[in-house]
This record gives sequence, C-alpha cells and structure tokens, in this order.
Amino acid sequence: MAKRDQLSEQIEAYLAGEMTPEEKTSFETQIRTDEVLAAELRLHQGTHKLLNLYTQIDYKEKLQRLDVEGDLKEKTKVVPFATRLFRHPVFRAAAVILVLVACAWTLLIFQYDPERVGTAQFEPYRDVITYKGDTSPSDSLILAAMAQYNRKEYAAARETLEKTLGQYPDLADARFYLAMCLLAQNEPAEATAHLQQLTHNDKYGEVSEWYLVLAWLKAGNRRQSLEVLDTILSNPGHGYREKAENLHQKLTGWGWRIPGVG
Amino acid sequence: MMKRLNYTDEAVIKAIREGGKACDEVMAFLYRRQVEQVVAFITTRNGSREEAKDVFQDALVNLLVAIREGKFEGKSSLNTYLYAISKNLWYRRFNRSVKEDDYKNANAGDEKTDFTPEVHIMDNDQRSLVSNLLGSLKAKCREVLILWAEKYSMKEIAEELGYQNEQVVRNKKNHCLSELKELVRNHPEARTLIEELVG
Repeated sequence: MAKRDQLSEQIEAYLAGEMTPEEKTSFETQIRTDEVLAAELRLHQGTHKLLNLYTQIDYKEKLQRLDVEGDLKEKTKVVPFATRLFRHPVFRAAAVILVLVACAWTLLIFQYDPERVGTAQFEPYRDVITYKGDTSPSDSLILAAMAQYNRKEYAAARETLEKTLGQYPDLADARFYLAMCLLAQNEPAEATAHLQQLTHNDKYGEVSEWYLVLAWLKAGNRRQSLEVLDTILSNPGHGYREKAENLHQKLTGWGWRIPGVG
Repeated sequence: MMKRLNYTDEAVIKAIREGGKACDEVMAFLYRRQVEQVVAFITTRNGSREEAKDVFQDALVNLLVAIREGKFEGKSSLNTYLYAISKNLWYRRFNRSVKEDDYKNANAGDEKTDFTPEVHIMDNDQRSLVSNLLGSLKAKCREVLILWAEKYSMKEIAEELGYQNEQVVRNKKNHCLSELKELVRNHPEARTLIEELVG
C-alpha cells in the first residue's frame, strides 16, 4: 500500500474511533509534534465534511429521480394507448365525433369528481365519548370539545381538541375527533395526518381507515383513497367492509376512465 | 429477495444513521409513503404538485441531516416531523407574503416537533462551490467518493459501480480522495469553508 494511502487510512481509523487506546495515544502524540500531520488531519477531516455536504445534493437528486421514475410508470400506462388510438386513420376521422361526444361527457364528469364523492359520503362520526363519565384529567377538556362538536361548532371544537392534544398527545379520542373537525371544515390534508396515526389504534383503527378513505377523496386523491379501500377489503372482518365495497365499485366504474376524471 | 414494504421509525432511523443502500431504500420508502400528503396540503394552498414535491424532498434531506448530526431527538413520529418541516419550508419558501400572524395561526395546534433550524443545510454559495470542486474530478472518482460519503460499504460500491473487488474500490477511493484534497488545498474558498466545517 502506498505511504500516502496508509496515512489516509490511519487518519480515517482515528476519525472513526477505530483505533485501539494505545494507537490513539501514539497518533495524538504525533499530531501534537508534527505540524504537517496535524494540517493533513484537518484537511482530511474537512474534505470528508465537504463530501458529506455534497451528499445533500446527491440525496435530493436521488429523490427527484425516484419521482421521475414514478411519473414515467404512470405515463406508460396511458401514452401507448393514446398514441395507438390517434395515429390510426380511422380514429383520426373519428376524432371529430369524439370531440362532440367529449362535450357531452364533460356534463357527466362532475359526477366523477373525487372531492364531490368524498363530501357526499362524509358524515361526522357520532359522539362515543360523552356517555363514558370517566374522571381522568383530560375529561374536562375533551367533554367541552365534544359539547361543541355535538352542536356542530367544528372550529371551536377543533381549537379545544388541539389544546387537549397539546397536553395529552397520546389521547386517541382527541386525535380522532380533531380529524372529524378538520374534515368538516374541509381541511382533508391535515385530517389525513391525524387519521394515519390512528389506523393501528384498537378503538379507532377501523373507523379511521374509513375516514382516511374519505379524507383522501376530499383532498382529490382517488389513488390514495383506493389504496386504503384495498386495505379495508383485504380484511374480511372489517366493520366498514360493506361500505368500502360500495364505494370501491363507485370509484372504479367506467366513468373514472374518462380522460381528465379522477 | 423481496424488499420490505414497511419500516418502523426505529428501523428508518437506524438505516439513515448507517447509510449505504439501506438508507436509499428507507428514503424512497418515506418519500412514497408521505409525498401525497404534502402534495395535498400544498396544492390546497395554491401551490403546484412540483413545488410540493420539491418541498418534501428538501424536508427529507433535512431529516437525514438532523438524524446524522444527532439533532433528531425522536420526540415526534417521523411522519409528524416530516409534515411539520414541509409546512415550515412551504410557508418560508413559497408563501413569504403570508403575514407572521397568519403563519402562526396556520401552525397553531401542531404537535410539538423537534424541528431544528440549526441543522446544517447548504446555502447556494456552498452548493455551487462544492459542486464545482466535485465537478473537477473524473466521473468515476466522483461516484466512488459520493457513495463512500453516503456510507456505502466497499462491497456495495464494488457492486454498484462494477469493480472487481473491495480492495480495488479501496485503492480507487484513496486515490480520488487525495485528488480532492489537492483540489481543496489549492482553492482558497474551499479552504475557508473547510476551516468553518472543522471549526
């Protein structure tokens, strides 16, 4: 091994804390007495840190590539079909007719708007807390929030529930009804963040999955919504299976294949 | 071998700390798991999908740096942490016209996160300096050094870049690192940056 490489590996072993105590002591004595070695150590350490900085650029580029790959996969599902369709002379002639038909279809498209479907299905979950009559410290806050929730004062209930969660971050009751308030206030993206944390909760797991489906729909994301529906449907004993089946049929009907729908 | 479809927060943090291929896999997992959530948040606030993805990519890099610098304390879930950082980045970068009060209101009720602005994310000058330095190396050298900095093992680098064995990679890495050190030694701005980094 070249002397230069040997020194480089010795420095790396030192910086990585891989030297024995004796080797370390001996190396540190050398650093104190040899200015050239001390300068080389600093240069090596700094160059390594500089490379670490560069990894920020590289990791971001990797994520961008991942995204492009994802987009390409999406496109390959649609583009070849469209290309074949419109290159054929018969279909070119039919294009005029299609334009006319498309005008008529646009009248139907609004029926296949995910947000519209999500909103139509959404109904705030009933209050299953108030009757408990527990005496835990969180009760006064959560009961106040539920009183507001039952009066459909969702903005006020949201504020109280956020305060409750601030004090009791693990309180699933507060998190779930906060998600309901957010959905009622048409803040689906915020709601998904809370519901995703509850999908493994014993009490709210199943119902959270169902409302997660609706939250993604209200956020206009049919694909994510279908993914959660698939999870529900893969569980034969799921309490929302029947509702999920009906909604799945609605979301996979022919209308969703109209270009620009969903 | 089948790739794992799901990772716990602990497994993600471990993989990011250890680096290498496992780190790339968990970064891809985190990206796929949550990008649509951030897209939904930003597109409902007049942002585009592209802007949202860019923000989330930066948030992930921020998380990676925080974990590696030991500044992620695990007080919140990764999901919550990433969502909070994305929101912060969005409000700061694309919504500067939002008044401070609106910004605070928009974040009211968020769970406590260990978001740390002190995490060392490169500024534009540093980005351009570091890119130029690395750009002066031959492509193969650059690739070896980057993978090494990303904590790939010598074996992983050999597999990734098609080298015969680990020793060949080790020699190549030493040679390329010497070249880079020489470039730094002869570049005043790089030397200044290094002094700052080493402290």
